[in-house]
Amino acid sequence: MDYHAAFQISATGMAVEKLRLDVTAANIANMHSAGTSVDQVYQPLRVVAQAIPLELSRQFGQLYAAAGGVEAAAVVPQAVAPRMVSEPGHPYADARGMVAYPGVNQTDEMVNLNTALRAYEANVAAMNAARTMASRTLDIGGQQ
Amino acid sequence: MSLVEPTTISLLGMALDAAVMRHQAIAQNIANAGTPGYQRIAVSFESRMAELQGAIAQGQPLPSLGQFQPFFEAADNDAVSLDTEMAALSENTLHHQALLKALNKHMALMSLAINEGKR
Repeated sequence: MDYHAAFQISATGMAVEKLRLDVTAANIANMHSAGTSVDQVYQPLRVVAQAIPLELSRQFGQLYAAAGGVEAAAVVPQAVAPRMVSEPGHPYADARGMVAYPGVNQTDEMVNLNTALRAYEANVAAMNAARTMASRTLDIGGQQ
Repeated sequence: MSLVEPTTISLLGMALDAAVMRHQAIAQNIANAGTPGYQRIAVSFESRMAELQGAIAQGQPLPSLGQFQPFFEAADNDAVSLDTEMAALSENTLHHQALLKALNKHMALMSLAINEGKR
């Protein structure tokens, strides 16, 4: 029995979901960060996750391989058009008095936030289940 | 019959291994709930028990248990749904505890025999 693998898988899941939360928080925090020009404006980020494969069959007499879980492959900026706001007095205003703000979609960010939160909780539940299974296994052959 | 009846204990051991592996598969599926293009995985074990049950029911000698070892396999359904995985997780944890109880009772039975029925 290799309980280390189960804990490791859930831990990688929690790490990725935490990164998702961090990135969403950064997007929301920068919602009103004006850019000096249209090219310089903050671009909302997204986490792209990829699976670490768990061995699908037994090999070389091993019962199972210890790898598995998930990792963040990349944090990619999204090519969304900046939000142009007319603020003639703003130091970053262009010739037409328009200021570029990041095109952060608040609805998307809040949905991502909640999805990541629930996924994190699911990983915690899986890890708690692994702990229960491990501690009950230690009682084999003990007093009834 | 041998003193320590080996089939029950080795079958329970394999079933416990399958439960632990299934837990890993479910944890892997949950961890990859947000991974694009992820292929769900499952564990193949219980579905292959019919042959063994048939042999036991007909009183035939048991086939080698080595071929019934659990292994990981790709699941047929691609999309991960967290609620289904959580339900499977609870079921698997309870199943694991039931197997442990069965193993403990079996060992208590042997202990009773060793102590000549005395407590």
